[in-house]
Amino acid sequence: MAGTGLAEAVRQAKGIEWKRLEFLEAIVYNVGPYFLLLLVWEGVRVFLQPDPRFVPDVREVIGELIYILKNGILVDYLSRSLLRIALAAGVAIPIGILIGFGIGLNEAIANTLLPLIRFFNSIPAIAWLPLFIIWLGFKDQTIILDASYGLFFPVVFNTIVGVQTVPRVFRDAVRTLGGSWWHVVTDVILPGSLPAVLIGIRTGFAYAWRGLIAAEMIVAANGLGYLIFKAQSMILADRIIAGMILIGLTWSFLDYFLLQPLEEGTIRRWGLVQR
Amino acid sequence: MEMGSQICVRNVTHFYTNRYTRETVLALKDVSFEVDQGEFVCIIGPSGCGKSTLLYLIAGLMKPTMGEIRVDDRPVTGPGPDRGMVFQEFAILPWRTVWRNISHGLEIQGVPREKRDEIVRRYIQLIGLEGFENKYPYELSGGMKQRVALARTLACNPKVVLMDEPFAALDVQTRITLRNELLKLSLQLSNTILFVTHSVDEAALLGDRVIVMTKRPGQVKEIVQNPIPRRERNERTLEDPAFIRYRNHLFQSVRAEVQTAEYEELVQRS
Repeated sequence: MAGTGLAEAVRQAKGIEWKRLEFLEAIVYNVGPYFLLLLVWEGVRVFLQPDPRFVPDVREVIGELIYILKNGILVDYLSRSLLRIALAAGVAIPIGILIGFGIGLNEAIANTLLPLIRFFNSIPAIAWLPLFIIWLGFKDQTIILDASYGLFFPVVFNTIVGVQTVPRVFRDAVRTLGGSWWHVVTDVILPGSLPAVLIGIRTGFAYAWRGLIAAEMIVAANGLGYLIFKAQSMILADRIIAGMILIGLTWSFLDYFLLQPLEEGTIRRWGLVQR
Repeated sequence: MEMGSQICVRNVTHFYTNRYTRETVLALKDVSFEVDQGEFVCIIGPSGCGKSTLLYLIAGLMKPTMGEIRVDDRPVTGPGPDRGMVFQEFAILPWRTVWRNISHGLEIQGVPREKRDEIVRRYIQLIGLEGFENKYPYELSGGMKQRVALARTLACNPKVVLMDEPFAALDVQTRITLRNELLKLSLQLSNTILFVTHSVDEAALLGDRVIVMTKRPGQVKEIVQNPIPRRERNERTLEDPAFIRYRNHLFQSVRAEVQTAEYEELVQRS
């Protein structure tokens, strides 16, 4: 009887009641912060009573979101911005990781490239924009290049740290198993540097978005940056805020559906990071 | 070169330079010894006497400043699968499961899948890790991790197994368990084992011979033969009078070196 009591307790602990509680918790944690944000926003509106043209109310912004969804702007602009950011990521991440590996593993490469990378890292992507426009014109390539520029540096710097913090004994272990330099790179350095590389990609994406939005404001006639920029000339505060919400939500979705599953399947599964 | 000796260390002197202080340290001074095929030899000595350095040199992970190291009558020029190594920090890869860690060396050497699986299964059984095949290292205890590391090394069937203080990071009870297991296991193995430790008990019980090293710069102080053959050694051997004498001799020998080192450090500081 005592045995079944214990089994029952274990079953309950793992059981449906617990699952339901977890689900509720997940909703509270995922929606709660945004709810708080809305409260502050409405609080400002109700108590400080600013000009409604400058600080629109939540319903107006939602109305604007529905409006641009209905007239097709939202889907069109969002998909263009997403495509650009994807192309920027496709360029900057592999190059960033490759150069990070080179610098992290080879002193000669480090001595050659690191000073240059530090130099260019201090120049913001927006400062490059005029030059990129002169070189490439008012084209998508200009926007993609500008977004890649911001993404590249955090990936490089974090990859370097990732490569250099992989415990040396792992390399020694693989070498004593008969592994070549290439085995060390693929079996040790690559997975071992992943936590840092992922931080680089996360941080880098924030810069990529900045570059993208800034470039779209100036270069493009579409995309989320253009949406916001254009709204300013028409004093459409609700559309500006709607655009900001779209940018934030888009990134949250990308993080949730791309980066987080990647982390779950790798560095969390391996116990390299703990909750 | 003597026939039959598998590891031959001849007049090895090794310096290393500290990267930050730029100080050059003499780690090993004119070290020579030989280890026969199938022998289990332990190396003990005070901290910093270069005993781990010696293993790294034999593994080929470092090159000696002077002198020569030969394994199977061939000079060591770099690491190779004929000299497996078990590290104090376990060094099994966190991103590989128990199974994939043990099969790693075989994968590197291109052993075909079926043969590989067969070997891995055998070693998982040998070290008693059935049921843990798909666990990742962070889910294992220290003792289990070191078992996996040992299995990974043995799976490649290296001629020489180099063990660098393999039980130093474990708690005392686990340490004793693994020590006894290794002793038993070694009777089934034909590999030559070179085992570095701080523990006199470990060295006395495991080694067919024990090399005692001096304080830094490490030199061979003496090489002592175990009075009890490996086959007859077990936990009760610890109470055997002949063994106790042998163990005490080793203890005094190392202790003297430790005390000299401590004294010299005091003098240097004052």
